Amino acid sequence: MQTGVIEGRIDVRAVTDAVRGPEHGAVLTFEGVARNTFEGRAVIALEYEAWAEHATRELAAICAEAEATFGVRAIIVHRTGRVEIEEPSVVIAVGAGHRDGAYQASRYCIEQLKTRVTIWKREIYADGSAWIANPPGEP
Amino acid sequence: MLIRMRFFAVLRERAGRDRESLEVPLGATAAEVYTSRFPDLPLRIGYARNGELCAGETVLVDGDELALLPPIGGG
Repeated sequence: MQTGVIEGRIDVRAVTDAVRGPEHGAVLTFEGVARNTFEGRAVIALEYEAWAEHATRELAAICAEAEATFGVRAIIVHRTGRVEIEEPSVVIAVGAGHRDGAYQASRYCIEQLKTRVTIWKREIYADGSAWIANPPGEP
Repeated sequence: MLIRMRFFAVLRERAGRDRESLEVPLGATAAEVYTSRFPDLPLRIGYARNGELCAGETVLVDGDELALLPPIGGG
C-alpha cells in the first residue's frame, strides 16, 4: 500500500499495516469519513475528483515532510469517485516510536491535505448537488 | 500562441470537457486566460503551469499546459 489517489474503497487495514514496524510503538490511523449532513442539509453521498498525477505527488510530499519533521512513517490514501455515507474518503496511517509523534504527524498530514492537494468534493443531496470547498478556499 | 488547458470540477462541468487547446494572445498571463475563457465565473482559483502551481500573473508561452484549479475540497 502506498500514498496516492485510488478509485473504489480504501482497505483501511492494509494502509495501517503498511506503517507497522518493529521500532514503531505507536500506530495511528485517521479516517476522514463521509458525513450525512453539511450545515444542516442532508447529504446522501460524496463524490471526489482529483488531478491524480498532481495530487499523488503532493500527498507524497506531505508524507515526506511529516516523516522528516516527526521521525515517523506516514501513508495517505485518498479516494475518488462516489463515497457513501460512513465510508472513508481519506485514510492517514502513521507509525512512530511514540504516540506524541504519531498524533502530531497525523494532524499535520490532514491539515496540509486540506489546503494544498488538488482534490475536489461534490456533495450529493436528495434534490441536487454542489461543489464544496475547504475553508478558506485554497488554492 | 496555442496553449493546452486542463479543467477540473466545476470548471470541467462548465466547459463540458476536461481538456482543450486554446489560441491566446502572445504574452497572456494565466489569470487573463481564465477570465477570457470563463468571463461569467468569478471564482478565486489557483493555477498550474506545466504541472507546477503558479501565480495568476505568470506569463505563458506557446505550448504551455495551464491547469485551472477551483477551490479544493479534499479530506
